[in-house]
Amino acid sequence: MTEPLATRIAGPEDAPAVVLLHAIATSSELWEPQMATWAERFRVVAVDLPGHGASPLTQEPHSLDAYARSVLATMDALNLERWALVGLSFGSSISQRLAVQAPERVRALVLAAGVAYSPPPAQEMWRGRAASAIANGLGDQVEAILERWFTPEFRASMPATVERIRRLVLSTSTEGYVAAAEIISTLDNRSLLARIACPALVLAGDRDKAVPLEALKQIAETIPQSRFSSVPAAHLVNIEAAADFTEQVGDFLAETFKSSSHV
Amino acid sequence: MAEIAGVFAVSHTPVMTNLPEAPGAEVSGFIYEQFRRIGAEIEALSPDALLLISDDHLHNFFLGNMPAFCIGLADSYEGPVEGWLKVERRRMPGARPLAAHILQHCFDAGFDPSFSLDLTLDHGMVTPLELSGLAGKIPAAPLLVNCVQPPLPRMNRCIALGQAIGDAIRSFGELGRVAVLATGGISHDVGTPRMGFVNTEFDHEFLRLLQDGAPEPLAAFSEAQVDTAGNGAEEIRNWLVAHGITGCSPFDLYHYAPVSEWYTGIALGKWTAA
Repeated sequence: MTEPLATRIAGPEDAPAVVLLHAIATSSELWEPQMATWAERFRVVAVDLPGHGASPLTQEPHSLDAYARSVLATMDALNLERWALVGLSFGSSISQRLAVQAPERVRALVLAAGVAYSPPPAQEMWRGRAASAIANGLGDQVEAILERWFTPEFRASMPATVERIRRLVLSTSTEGYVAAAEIISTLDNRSLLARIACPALVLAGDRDKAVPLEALKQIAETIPQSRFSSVPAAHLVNIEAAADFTEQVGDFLAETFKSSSHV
Repeated sequence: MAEIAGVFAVSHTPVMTNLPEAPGAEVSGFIYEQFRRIGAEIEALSPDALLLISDDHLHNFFLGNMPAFCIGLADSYEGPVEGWLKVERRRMPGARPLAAHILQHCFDAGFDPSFSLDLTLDHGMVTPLELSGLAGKIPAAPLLVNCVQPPLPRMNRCIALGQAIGDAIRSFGELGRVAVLATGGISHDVGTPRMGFVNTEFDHEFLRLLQDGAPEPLAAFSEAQVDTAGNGAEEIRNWLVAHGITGCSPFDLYHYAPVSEWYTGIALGKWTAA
């Protein structure tokens, strides 16, 4: 039996539900810039993925499928039948899987700054990151992580925000990080994308060096009902381009709920 | 007598500096971090000299004169020789007394390397030095191994030469600490239709045998299988010389990735004992 995950919830109970899946080495707290605004019109459920935030690491073996099942079990426990799904980075990879695993539950999909496949050098890189975390914890990697996640300009002009994210990374358990890194090292959702049946928004950071724009455009081309958009940011798009992200994704969700409200 | 402070090996390829983001900035960034880690570790050892082991890519030597092994005896070296390499050209200090001692010791030990007072370094040495942040910081003695134009020195001979060089360094009275950096791509093809193909099976087995340490199976595998890993893979000879310098101690692999976009299996690491 898959255990439900920890969540942080905001917004009216009868509003359409939106489920948020965060990046590796963060938690539901990542969505703080979006929560209040989206809670005006949606029932927002921000999930702590296994081994992150207040959710313990699930039992072995860790896999994208298992993490997707945990999210599903969480929505079952909350009695939420249908919802839109917003995933960022690692959260996007899980969302891709979940949209195919439970098409009857997912009304709309937002895939932000997340790939569908780790090619061999990236596989080795993620194994390397996992090994380094096992040996030295996340402290050694946090600087490199923040460099990947934000543009130099954002780091220079928004130090307090970057510090908050640094704390979020450092509060992640090594085991949780390693499990997620190992899942990313074997990531291959390429064959699933064409089977995603709901409307999707694929969103990129136009200065994201971790996830190339081209890879996201390709995802958007493969998913039947999808469109591509970008915001001015590096990888952590919902933080660096917070207002833009909140508006673009919020609009997309509202539109989708409106056009499918009869369902 | 000099101490061998640390022995390291890294892959080299000119595209690491010329097409930095070809494999994706995240992957190349991670690999650059490994280079900086090795650079920092070498600097932390405070070596008085650095023995560099690589091959000459038909810049100093051509078909008219192709030594199997050549030790540089210059007081300084310029590089990179390649005008197209996106690395600033600079003059780096040489470690002439160390190189001269190694040369003499090699002759005494039954090896006959050539020597040169006029070498210009190419991407094989310059790119790793640049990426590791070591360029020009430590006086260097370059050893060039023919990995380019057959007939090539046998794999077991490279290990044996390394053992002689290890003895040479340890018997050198003028310096305290010497670090060693060998560079060479593992599986890769240059200028063939297979360019971009990386034989990961070969690379994994080669690295496993290095990690194991034992010289005979390592040399036998290298000799028998190098053809399957591309014409550039002949550069594993540089790794084998370094392996011999350590007395064939086990290799500690920091990172390996088959980077097709850089046409090469990229590995980096350090021998556990020198």
